[in-house]
Amino acid sequence: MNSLYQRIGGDAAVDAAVDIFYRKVLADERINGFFDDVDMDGQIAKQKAFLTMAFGGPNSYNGKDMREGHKHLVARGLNEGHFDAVVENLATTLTELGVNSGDIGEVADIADSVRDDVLNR
Amino acid sequence: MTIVSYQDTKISIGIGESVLDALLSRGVNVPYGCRAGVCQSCLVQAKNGVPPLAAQKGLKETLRQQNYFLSCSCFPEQDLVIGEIDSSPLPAVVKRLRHLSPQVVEVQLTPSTRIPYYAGQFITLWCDLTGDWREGRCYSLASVPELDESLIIQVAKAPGGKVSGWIHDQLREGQEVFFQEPMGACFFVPESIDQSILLAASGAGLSPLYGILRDALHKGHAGEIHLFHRASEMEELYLNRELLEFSANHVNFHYHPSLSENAGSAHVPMENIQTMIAESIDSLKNWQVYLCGSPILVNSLRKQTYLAGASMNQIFSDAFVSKHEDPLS
Repeated sequence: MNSLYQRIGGDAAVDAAVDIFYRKVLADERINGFFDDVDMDGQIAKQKAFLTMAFGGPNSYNGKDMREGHKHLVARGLNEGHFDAVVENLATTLTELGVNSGDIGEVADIADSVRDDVLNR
Repeated sequence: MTIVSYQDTKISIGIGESVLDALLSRGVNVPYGCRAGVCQSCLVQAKNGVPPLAAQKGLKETLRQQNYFLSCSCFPEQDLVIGEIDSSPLPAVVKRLRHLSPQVVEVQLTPSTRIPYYAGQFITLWCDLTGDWREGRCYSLASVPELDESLIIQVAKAPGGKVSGWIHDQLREGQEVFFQEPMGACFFVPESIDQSILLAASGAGLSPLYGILRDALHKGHAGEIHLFHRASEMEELYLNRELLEFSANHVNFHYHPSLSENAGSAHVPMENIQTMIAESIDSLKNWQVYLCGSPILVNSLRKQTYLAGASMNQIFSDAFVSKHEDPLS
């Protein structure tokens, strides 16, 4: 039985998705302020790691990492609305890549499972 | 069984053990993140030995060529020496000094031994202000190893700049100086001979791109090459003549100079470099992009070129960080 990660297309799918996803995020006025970073290479690597996790793939980020990693953004006002905007961009990215809606739902659930950690709640 | 050396520690790596696991289990504190070869937090460089290709997945070509790798994904096949190595300053003699413009001096250096490098990298030049070589500054190389005997840097005089002031006012031909070996991840690594290349610089950022351009043309690059240079005034388009000559002699090379506002010239547009690039080129998909100059401009162009379709791993940049704003941009 194929895992979600394998169904979506594994590592190659993550690469394709990051390209689309990161551009959407940078162009999205609701959230691009949080991504206005000088280290775009580093950002892309983190996006890859995030998407790998969201696709159910191998990664070792834990709740503490997500919490610590977003603490300074929460201090700058990161909220529910921003988190929702990111998940929305992820969903449209996957739709563009032809992923079926059932799998997109699963990805959204996984992304949602880190909501509290990201928002430091 | 392979041996990995990190600073003063020598560690034997067991079969199936990654470099990261080995270092951590010996209590060596190295950075890491996802431990799955994705986030690149564990990026290190092999100063000796070659890491396996599998440990370089996802890294930019320029990092791969310099033997950078991800320690979490590295199952070494040969002994490696990683991390910083203290390298002594290298001696060179100033072979020639000449002004390319009122603000830019070209320094040609003859090192005492032949130094390998890639066109577009930079050296740290040590400045002897007080009788001891204490202050260093990074200057990008404009030279190309296959084309130039000497190492060439082109130094803009920064307002109140200690080292650039020393270079402009006190350095003499025949003088001995010291420098650090060339470093940097901004050099020519085309994916194919037909790939389109964008080179964009403000002020003295032009110098390494000039090296990369000559490297590309020397290697017979056939793809379209577009170079945008923005300067504060006409005289500070300090390689104008050379670049016009290249565009006359190479049908695939296109030179786009521009000047800051108030610079007034009949022949050169006063246009924001971001606008010029956006108006000249629709999509940068599959292009290779090299950006050099002030951090503000480099960051802005990096984002702009990425949004125009260039892949992140095809965008190479070198931001000139200094205490003062680049006087030429």
